[in-house]
Amino acid sequence: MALGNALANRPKQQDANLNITSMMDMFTIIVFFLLFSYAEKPDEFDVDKNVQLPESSSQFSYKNSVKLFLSENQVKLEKEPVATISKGKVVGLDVNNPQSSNLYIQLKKYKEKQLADAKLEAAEKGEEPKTDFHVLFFCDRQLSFKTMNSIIKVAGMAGYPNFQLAVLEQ
Amino acid sequence: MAALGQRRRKAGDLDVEIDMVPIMNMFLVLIPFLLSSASFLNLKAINTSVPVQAETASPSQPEKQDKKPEIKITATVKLEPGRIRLEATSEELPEAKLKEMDALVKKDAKGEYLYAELAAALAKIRQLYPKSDTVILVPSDAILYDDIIKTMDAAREYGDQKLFPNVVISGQVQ
Repeated sequence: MALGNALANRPKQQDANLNITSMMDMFTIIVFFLLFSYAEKPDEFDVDKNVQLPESSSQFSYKNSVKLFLSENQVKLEKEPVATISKGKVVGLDVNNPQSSNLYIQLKKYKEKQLADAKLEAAEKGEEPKTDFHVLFFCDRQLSFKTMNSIIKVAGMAGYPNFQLAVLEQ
Repeated sequence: MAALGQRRRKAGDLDVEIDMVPIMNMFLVLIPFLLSSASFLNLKAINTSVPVQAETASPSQPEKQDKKPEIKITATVKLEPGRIRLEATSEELPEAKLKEMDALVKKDAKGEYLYAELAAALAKIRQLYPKSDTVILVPSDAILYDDIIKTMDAAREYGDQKLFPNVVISGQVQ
């Protein structure tokens, strides 16, 4: 009973009233900012950790097309490794006969698939099929031109003479 | 004013407070999710191509030769270890005139190419022959991709001035 009295006689505590309106405002701004920055870049993709892109003043946007990732020791077509690089040379790529290399075969296959898809799409829309496909290169900034050039040549022979070089905005 | 305010509030009105805690909870879940999936890399691209054989104006067109602004110069930028050589080529100008536009750009004490000098030389060509729009970039085998991109940037603009929008990459002929 004595304990009950003590509790009853204790001065009543007031309910703490935390004003969360300003915090709500801040969160609303953050959520909208993140949602809009998400909507601006619908075609995000994972850049290989081994590929350090150079910075450039270019303001051109990239087009979503075939992506080739060139690191110091590997070439990836989209996410699939298609060749390895050793001492600056693409392993299995014969300069005099590039058509025999896996890189060429895979690129050619991809091009044929793109052409077939474009034909289907054009037939549905009743338009001329698209033929000007290009490669988007993600090259490591420390890669030598010798290595790059051999891969660019193979891409050109496989039907991709036009290409884009991915860079980071300065 | 205070009296008017008091009059508007009826005796039976209650202060209604919206419970914002569930919204707060939702935001607290949304923000980490969006932050983890957001990418802050701002990716851009440089359009380029391998050289394609193009038709050029035949030299037997005297009326075109007279018009200086119609003349197109193709600038060839040879990127070599230690220096950059700029050469101008055109079928519409004599060799001596083209030689005047050639330039040699070296590296500075830090080992960086003097890209501003290259851009200035290209700007001079562009000023004289505004129709010129193509640069052929010829890097040596040992040149790094980073240097190629910096050279392309120098060829594309000089300050606010737009230079050569078409940059073609070509390997050296051996």
